[in-house]
Amino acid sequence: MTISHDDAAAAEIDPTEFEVHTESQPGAWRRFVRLRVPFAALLFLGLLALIAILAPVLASQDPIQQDTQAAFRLPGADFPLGSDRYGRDILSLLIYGARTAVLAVFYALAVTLLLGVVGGLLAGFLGGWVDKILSRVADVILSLPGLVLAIALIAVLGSGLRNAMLATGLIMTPTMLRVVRAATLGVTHEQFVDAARTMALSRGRIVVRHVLPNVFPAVVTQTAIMVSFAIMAEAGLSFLGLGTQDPDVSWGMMLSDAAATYRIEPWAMVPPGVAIAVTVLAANLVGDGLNDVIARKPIARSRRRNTSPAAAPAAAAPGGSRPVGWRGAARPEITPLLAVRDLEITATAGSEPTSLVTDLSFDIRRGETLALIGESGSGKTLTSLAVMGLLSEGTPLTGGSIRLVGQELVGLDEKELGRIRGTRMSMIFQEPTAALNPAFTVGFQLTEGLRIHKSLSKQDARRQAAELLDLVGIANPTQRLAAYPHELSGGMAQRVMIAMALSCDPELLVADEPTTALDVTIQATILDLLHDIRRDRRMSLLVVTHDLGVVADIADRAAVMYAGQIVEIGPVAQVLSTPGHPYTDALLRAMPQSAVRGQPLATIPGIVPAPSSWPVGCRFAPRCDYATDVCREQAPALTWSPPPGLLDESVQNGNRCVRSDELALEGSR
Amino acid sequence: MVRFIAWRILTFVPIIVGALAVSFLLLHLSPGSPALYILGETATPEDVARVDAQLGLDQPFLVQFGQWTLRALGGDFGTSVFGSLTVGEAVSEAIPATMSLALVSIVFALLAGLSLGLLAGLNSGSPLDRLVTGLTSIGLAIPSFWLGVVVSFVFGVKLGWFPIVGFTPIEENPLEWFRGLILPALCLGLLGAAVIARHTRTALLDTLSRDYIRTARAKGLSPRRIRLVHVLKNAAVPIVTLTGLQFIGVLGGTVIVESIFGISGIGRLIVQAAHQKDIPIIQGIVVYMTVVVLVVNLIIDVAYAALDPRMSVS
Repeated sequence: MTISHDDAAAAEIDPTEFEVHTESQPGAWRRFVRLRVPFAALLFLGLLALIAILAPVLASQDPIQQDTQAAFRLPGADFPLGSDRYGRDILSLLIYGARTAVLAVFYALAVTLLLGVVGGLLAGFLGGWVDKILSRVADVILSLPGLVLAIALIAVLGSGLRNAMLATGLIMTPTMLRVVRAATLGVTHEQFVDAARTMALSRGRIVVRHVLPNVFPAVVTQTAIMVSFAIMAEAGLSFLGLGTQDPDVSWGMMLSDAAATYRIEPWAMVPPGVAIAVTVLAANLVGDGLNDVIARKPIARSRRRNTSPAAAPAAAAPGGSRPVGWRGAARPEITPLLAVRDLEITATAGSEPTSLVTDLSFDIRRGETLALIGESGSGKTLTSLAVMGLLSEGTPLTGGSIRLVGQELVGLDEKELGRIRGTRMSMIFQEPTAALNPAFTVGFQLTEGLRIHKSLSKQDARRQAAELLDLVGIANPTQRLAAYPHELSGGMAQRVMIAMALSCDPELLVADEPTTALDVTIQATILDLLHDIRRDRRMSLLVVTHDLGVVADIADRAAVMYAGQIVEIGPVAQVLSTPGHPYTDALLRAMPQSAVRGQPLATIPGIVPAPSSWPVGCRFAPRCDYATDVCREQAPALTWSPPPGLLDESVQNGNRCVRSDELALEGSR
Repeated sequence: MVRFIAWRILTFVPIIVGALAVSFLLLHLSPGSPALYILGETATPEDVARVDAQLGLDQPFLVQFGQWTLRALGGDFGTSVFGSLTVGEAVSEAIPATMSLALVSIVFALLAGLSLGLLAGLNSGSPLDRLVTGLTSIGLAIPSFWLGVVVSFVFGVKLGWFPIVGFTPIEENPLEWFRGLILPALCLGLLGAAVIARHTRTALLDTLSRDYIRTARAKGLSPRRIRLVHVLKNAAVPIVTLTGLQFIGVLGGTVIVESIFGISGIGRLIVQAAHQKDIPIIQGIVVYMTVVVLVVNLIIDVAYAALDPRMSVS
C-alpha cells in the first residue's frame, strides 16, 4: 500500500551534502537549542511544570474557596485575571490547572511509554507472530476515532482524571508502538546488530546496547507530540465532565464552567482557552523542532524558481564582448553551437557561499560530442544542469555566459528558457525511472512536448510518439504508449527519455551519466543508440560521465574536470593516449583495463577535496606525484593552444598543469 | 477494480471481529459484576438479576461472546439500559446529524486546507508561506471546545447570524440544515484544515523537488503547466490518504462539538451513555463507528488506486 519512491534520485550531487561533510556536526541537543523557537517552547513547558509543582506557594487563593459576592469580576487589583462564577480567582485556578495538566500528561505517557515502547520493541525485534498480533491489535485500535474509544473505556472504568488519562494513554499506545516498531526494524537490519548477534550477545543486551539508543530519538519526538495530545484530551474530556472531577481544577473544567455562563460574562472563557492553546502550541513546536533536529531532513527548498542564470553579472556584458578572464587568444571565432565561458556556480545554502564550479569554458560544435569527465563531486553534473538552466535554488550560477548559437541563455527567465528547452536543447538524466513522472503514461509524457511545442493534434502527436519509440528501439511502440513508468525497466525508461528528448528535434542533447544507473549489459546498447542518433540527426551531444570507456566510445572531444575546474580539454584520442595533465594520467592508470596482470591496480592517493577546502594552488597538487612548490602556491590558469595541424578555431586544447611541457605522461598505453 | 474492492472488503473481516471483541470485552473489563457496576452499590439483588439476564451475563463467557456477536452482526445490540429504545433505534436516530456534521466539516477542512496548503507550497519561503505556517500552528493548538463556545458567543449570541443550538434535518429545510452546521463544522474542521494545509504544503514541496519535475522543465513546459499537471496529480496521492485519516478524526471530534452545539448525534449519545454507564449503547456505537471508518478507508483506497498507477489493483 505504501509507495516506494525512488530514493536513488538522491544520488545526484546535492550541494547540501557538502555542508554536512565540512561542518563539524554539533550534537542533537546543541542543534535543538540553536533552533531557538522550539527551545523557547521547551523552556515554557519546563516553567509550566515548575508552576505546577509550586502551585500551593504561587496561587494566591485556594481553588476550593468560593465567594459568590466576587463572581464575574474582570481583571483588576483583586483578581489579576478576573474571577469565575463562584468568585474564584482565575489566576489561581490556572495555576492549579497546570498541576492537573502535568498530572494528566504523566498518567497518559506512563501508559503509552510502558505499553508502546515495550510492545514496539517486542514486535520489531522478535518479529514473527508476536509482531503480527501486536500490529493487528494496533491496526484495530487505530482504525477507530480515538475520542470515541477513550469515552467507551471511561464509561467502563468510570470517570475521573486518572481513568480518563489511562484511557487516553491506551488510545495513544498503538501510535507509539508503530513508531518504536519501525525504528527497531530499522536498526535490527543494520550491520552492527548483526555483528552483535554473531558475537552471541544476549537479546536483552542487544536491545539495551544497540537498539534502544537508536529507538530513543523517535520516542522522544513522538512523546512531544503526545504531550500536546494528552493536554488536549484532558481538557476535552474534563470539558465533557468525564475527566477531572470537583474539587480538583482543570483548564477543561474551567472552560465548561465558563461556557455555562458565557452569555452573562464571556471573559472567563479567555484565560483557560489561551492556557490550553499556548501549552499545546508549545508542545507541538518542541515536537517539530525535535523532528527537524533528529530526522535531519534537509529543509525542503523549492526548486521551482529558476534562479540559476538570473543573477549572473557577466551576462550583462553587452555587445557580446568577451567576459574578463577568458584566456582564449584573440582569434576570429566561428560561432559554435554552444559556447560556455567562465562559468561559476556557487552553493549558497550554507553559512557562507562555497564555490562549486569556477572558471569553466568550453565550446561544442554542431554534430560534435563533448564528454565531461570527472570523479563524483567534480562539478560535471552541475555544469550540465547549468547549460539547461536547471540549477536548483541552493546552487545558482554566479557568473559566466552560456550561448546557444550566439544567443545568451544566462539571465533568461523560466518562460523564455521554456521556449528553448525541449525544442533546441534537451536533456536526459542519470536515473531514468525517477526522471519520468510516475503518475502519467509514457504516451502522455511523450506527446506533451509535441503538442505544446509543435502544436500537433492528439492523434498526430501519438503517431509521432510511436515512431520515436520505434526509433529508440522499443518493440510494440503503440502498446508501450499506454504503459506507466513503473512498468518499464531502467534501460527501457532511458530509451523513453531519449525519445522524449528527441521529440522536437533539438540541436543539443545533454546527457548526464546516461548509462550509470543501468545494467552493464544495457549500457553499450544505449550508448550505441545515442551515438547513432547523434550522427543521423547532426545533433550535438554533451555527455557527462565518469566512465572513460564511454568517452572513448562516443566522444569527439573530452574535458577532464577536477574540483570544479577543467584541468584538461582536447580531442579524445589525444586526451586518452597522451594526457597532458597528471590528473588525467592518474585517472587513466586507475582504469581496471590498464592494470598490468600480477600488479596491484593503480589508485590515486587521497580523496577529492570538498569544495570548501580546495587548495590555494593547483587543486590537484596534494595528490599529484609531480607537484612542486610552485604548484602548491600558485593557482594555475588553463592555457589554450591550437592543436597542431588543425585550423578550426573552435577546437580548444587546454591544459591547467604548469609542468605539462616537461612531464612525459603516458596514460594507459 | 471489482476484485480489488472485494479483496479490500475481505481484509476488513479481522478488524470487524476485533472491534466486536473490544466492544464485548468493554462490559467485562469493568471491575465486579457489570450489573452491579451499572446499577450502583445500592442495587437490589432482583435488579441485578434482571440486568444480568438483560445482558446475558448468566451464561458462560464464550457462549455469551458467541451469542452477542451473532446478534451484533444482525445489528442487534440489545436495549439501552436506561432508555426504552433499542440500541439500534437510538444509534440510527443519531446518525443523520452526525454524518451531516462530519461531511460538512471534512468538506470545509478540505477546502480551507487545500487552498492554504497550495498557497503556501507554491510560494514557499515567501511571507505568505510563513503566515500560513503560523496560522496552521495556531489552528493545531486551538481546542475545538473553546472555539465552539467563542464562535457561538460571537456569531450566535452577539451577531445572531447562526443558530447555536440544535440540528435541522436536511429533508426538512436544506438551508437551515446548512446554516445550523456552519459554526459546528467550522470548529470541527479547523484541526483537519490545519493538518491538511501542512501536509499539502509538504507534499507540494516534496513533489517539486523530484527528478521528474526537472525533466518537465527540461522539456520546456511552462511553470504553470508543470504545477497544474505534473505536480498536482502526484501531490494528490498523500493528500487523499490524509483526508481519510482526518475524516476519522472529525468523527471523534463530533463527541465534543455536538455537546457544545446541542446536536443530538452519535457523539452526544456516547457522552450521555458514558455518564450513565449505558454499556450496550456504547458497544453499538463502537461497532457502528468501526464500520463507518472501514467504509471511508475503502473509498480512500479506491481513490488511491485511481490516482497512483503504481498501486497494483490485485
